[in-house]
This record gives sequence, structure tokens and C-alpha cells, in this order.
Amino acid sequence: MDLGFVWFAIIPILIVAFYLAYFLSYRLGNVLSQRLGRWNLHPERRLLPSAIVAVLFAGVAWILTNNHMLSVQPEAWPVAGQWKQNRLAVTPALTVPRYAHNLGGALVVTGLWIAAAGWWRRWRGVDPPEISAIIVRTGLWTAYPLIVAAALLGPVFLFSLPAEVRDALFRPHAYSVLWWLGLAAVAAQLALGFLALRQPQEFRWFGGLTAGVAVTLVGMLCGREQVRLAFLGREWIGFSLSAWAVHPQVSSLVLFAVLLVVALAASAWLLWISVRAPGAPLTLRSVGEPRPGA
Amino acid sequence: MEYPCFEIRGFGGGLLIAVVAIVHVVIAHFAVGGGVFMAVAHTLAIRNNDALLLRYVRDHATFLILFAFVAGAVTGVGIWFTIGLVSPAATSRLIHNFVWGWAAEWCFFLIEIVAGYVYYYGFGRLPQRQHLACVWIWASSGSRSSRS
Repeated sequence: MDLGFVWFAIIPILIVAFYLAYFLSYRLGNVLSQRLGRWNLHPERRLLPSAIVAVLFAGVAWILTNNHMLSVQPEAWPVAGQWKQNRLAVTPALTVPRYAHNLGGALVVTGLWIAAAGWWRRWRGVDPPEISAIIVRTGLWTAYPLIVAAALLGPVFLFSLPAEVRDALFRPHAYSVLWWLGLAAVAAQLALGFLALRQPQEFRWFGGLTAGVAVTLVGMLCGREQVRLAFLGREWIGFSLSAWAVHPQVSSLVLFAVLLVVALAASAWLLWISVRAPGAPLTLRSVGEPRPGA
Repeated sequence: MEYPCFEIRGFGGGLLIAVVAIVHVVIAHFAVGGGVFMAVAHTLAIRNNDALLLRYVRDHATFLILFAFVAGAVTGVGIWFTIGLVSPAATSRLIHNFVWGWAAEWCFFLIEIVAGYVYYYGFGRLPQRQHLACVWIWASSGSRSSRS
């Protein structure tokens, strides 16, 4: 199967996955919309659509991981016939651990979002405190085991990378220093996550854990950039930023900068008024009954 | 270094771009017009104290958000996927020349998305003036983004 078809498949897959996720959402209750969904009392019905949504998004992650693997092997591009080969798994020996790494990292962030939602609901008084505590714990228990797994398996993955990639990461450079900082932050996450699980009522542990994960994510991005620059500088590609002709577009850049400030200010104001608005309590009422105030 | 190009036998690359672009443009235009329609209808409903019209606007907002913010947004990304596949060198040239113009469009799109969701979840929660402000911000940023 041509890589092009696989790559393009991301678009229909995403559309189906998002609509299915919305479908699930509308079958469940929503506090902000003041409604109780039809499936609140039938949790077993959520299983199949939830599983399909998870598989679809995991499939998109698989395609993106393969694309990434191919992007770091440009020597394979010009080879005649390469593009007609099956690209559902580019160099599987490397793709599978990278995919696991990507998916594990995504689930850590997901767990932190769930925990953050729990804290948010607690502060807003949306749920009784014991319910918010369950949400926070669920999020932490999603994130922490994967942080531990990443700490244990990360070095294995690192040393399974091609020597050229490792060399680029270990080479002294501002980006690689930040990458090392991101790795060092994992040690802090192990301690902070443990404390957060032991004392889930203490926000500082959760806050520290989230900050540590953010440092690691920034570090990973910097490592990726360092590898990219190193690859672009390879002799047979011969690309260097300093040799690149630059044609400044000052007016367009200024326009963008001004609009970015406007957009961020407008978004902040909109979110602020939404946060300040009273959260509507979820009340048990029959499905189809008009919403309060409608 | 030459990029490989993508060509569907018997269909061609240009036609693929056309199909994806037309689907996106139809949805995008509907979304832009729909935002203005929502703002006007909501304003009229408030001015005339018309609860039925307000109810209709709220239900229509559900449809518009689901349609524009999923199918519209993802097919917009789909255009980039398509042109990147069919003609990577041309796409690279476009980016080098127009990247800040598209970045400016993205700013309006950000406002549109945030305003749309805050408006949608604002029914029964936001004060009337703020709720109206949301829908007008949604409508105006939507029409700006389509002009960029």
C-alpha cells in the first residue's frame, strides 16, 4: 500500500473518531449543558464506541510514528520503488518501541489532564469532594505507572536508537542540554508522583508533577530538533541554516504578532467569563425534559 | 533532494486537491455564514424576547459546532495533507511565501473556536450581554478568518 494513501487516511480517520467521540459525549451527561445523557444508566453501551475511538486515535498515532521514522531516514526516499512498498511499518524494530514511547507519553499527559479536571471540579464545587478525589486519583493512577515504565524502559529505548541519533543527542549543544534536563526531570517526577498518590489531597504534589512532565516534554522537543538539525547537516544533504537565503517579510510578521496578541487576549477574556459564570449543577431528570432556563 | 509525488492512477493529483478543497470550502462558507446568522438570530431573539427563536439558536449552535469544528477544521488540514502529497515542492514554495498570512488566519481561527465553544456552553450560564458578545466575536472572527 502506498504511503500516500496511509498518510491521507489520517483525515477520514480523524473525522470518524471525532464524531464518534462527540456521539459518546452526547450519550452521557454534561454539567455545562445541564443535561443527563441516555447512557448514564447504561455504562456497558459505552464500551464498543469507546474502544473504536481509542483504536482510531491509536491508529493515527501509528501512522504519525511511521511517518516520523521515515523522516529520519531520508536516504530511503530516493530509492526506486520504495514508495510502493508496504509502509504500515517502517523499520519495525525501531518503530514499535518508538510507538510505545509515544503512546505511553500521551497517556501520562492524559492522566494529568484527568487529575487536573478533578482538581478543577473540586475548586468549582461541581461534585462532592469524594467524587473529585476519585477523579484525581484515577488520573494519577493513569499517569504514574507509565512514568515509572518510561523511567525503566526509556534507557533501553535510548540505546536501541541508531548511533547517529544518539551521537546527535549527546553532542554538546543548547538543545541537547535541554534534552538532558528533560530526562533529569523524570527523576523528580518519580518522587513527586509517589507523593501525589500518597497524599492526593495536596495540590502541590500534583502541580510539581505536572511541571516536571512539562519540562520533560520541552526537553523531548529540543532533542528532536537537535536530531533534525544534525541530520540536515549531513554531508550528502548539505543543508545548513546559515547558507539558506533569507527574505524577511517584516510587515507580515508584525501583522501576525499583533493579531496573535489580540487572539490570545480575546481567548483569555472569553475563557475568563466562562470560568466566572456559575457552573450549572447536574440534576437527575428525565431525558427530553427541557433544560432549566430554556 | 527531490520529494516523491503522489498520483492516484486514473484520478490524478489535481482532482484529489479539488475534491478535498471543494468539500472544505463548502463547509467553511456555511460555517462563516452560519456564525453571522447565529449572531443576528440571537440578537433578534433577545430584542424581541423570543424564547422559541432562542431555543432554535441553541440547537442550531450544536449542529454548527459539530459540523464546522470537526468536518470543517479537519478537511482544512486535509487540504494541506493533499497538496503536500501531490506537490510537496509547490507546497514548500507556498509556505515560504505566505506563512505569516496563514499564521494571521490561524489567529482568527483560534478566536473563532474559543468563542464558539464558550458561546455554546454559555446558554443558561453567561449573562445576556456577555453571551451576545461571544456570538458576535464568533461571527466576526469566522468571517475574518475566511478572508485571510
